[in-house]
Amino acid sequence: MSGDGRPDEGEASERVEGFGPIDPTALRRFRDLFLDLEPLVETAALDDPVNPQTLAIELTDGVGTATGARLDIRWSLSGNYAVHYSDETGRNFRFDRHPKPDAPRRHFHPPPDASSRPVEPSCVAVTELQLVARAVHHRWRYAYEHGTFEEINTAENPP
Amino acid sequence: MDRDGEEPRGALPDGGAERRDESEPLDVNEAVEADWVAETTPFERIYDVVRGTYEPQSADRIADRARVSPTTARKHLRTLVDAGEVSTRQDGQATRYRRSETAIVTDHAQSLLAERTPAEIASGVAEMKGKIREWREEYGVDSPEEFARELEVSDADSDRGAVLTEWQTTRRNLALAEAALAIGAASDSGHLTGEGGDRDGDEDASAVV
Repeated sequence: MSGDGRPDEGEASERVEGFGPIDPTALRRFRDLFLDLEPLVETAALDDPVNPQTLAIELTDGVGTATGARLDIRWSLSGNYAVHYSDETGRNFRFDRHPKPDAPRRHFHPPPDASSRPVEPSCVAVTELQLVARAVHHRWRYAYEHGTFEEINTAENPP
Repeated sequence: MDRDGEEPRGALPDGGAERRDESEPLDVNEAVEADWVAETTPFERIYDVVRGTYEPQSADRIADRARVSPTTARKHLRTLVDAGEVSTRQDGQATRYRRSETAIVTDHAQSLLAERTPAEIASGVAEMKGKIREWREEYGVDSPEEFARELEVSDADSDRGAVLTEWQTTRRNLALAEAALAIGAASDSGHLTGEGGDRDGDEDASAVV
């Protein structure tokens, strides 16, 4: 997110190259957009208004046999993010963007356990918060409506 | 355009070169971009993008990110500068823009004071100070930067990566909460708008919004 046309280069010169501090404004923007997009949202709130670290979105239904699910969202000042889906049946996946050794910056922790390794390249290529939130919503909806996690990390829906 | 340039497009079929069949469904990235542009005005997109811009960027870059023309971006950015939402930095010939620090502080204070009383914020401040003190003692370092250097934190998904992010976040949230308390006290005094002249402003008010 630094120089023109060269996102992510040089920004770490004197800084710690990591996830970076969480941006509460970004969490609120994500929350407001998701409330507009998703009718199954039961609650959407920052974990602690005074020291926010995570946005938690509770959904009244889940993928397949799950009857409830949640999304935990972290978003940093430098535009790194982690969007973590988990549901009542113990299944998880995560769309991430942050530096990670031996992995692409944009990566996907696949279901069922969203384990730390190995990860796949993420189908989410857009980087603006408005677009990432919409893309994650798009993939969640696809999985929800089809009742399966297959193709969840696929940019192009199969015919 | 907005896509990360630093890695190969692993999972992305790059259909950019060929002309699309109209009946072919858009891929997720194209679909959400089309929705965003259809559902928002250029000003809304500029304002939204700039709310997450902490490193100064050129108007062209911001235009690109917001899917508007550079001329439109310059016009709206000028409005936002006048409103105090955006600050500028001169970089040779080029003007660079970012979210102003005043806007960052007032935005956060407004949300916080709407949800919590000053007493609750004050207790949150004490808690954050306590957490930072504990991290310093536990790891024998003074700052998150020193923590990252000394303990060679390289993976954000590791336990230490999580501590690093939480420490950096808490330090920033502490500064914002202290600023919110000051704004709340100033507002509560009633002097900002020339009203409430007989109040000292040092009482323990509960509703400050």
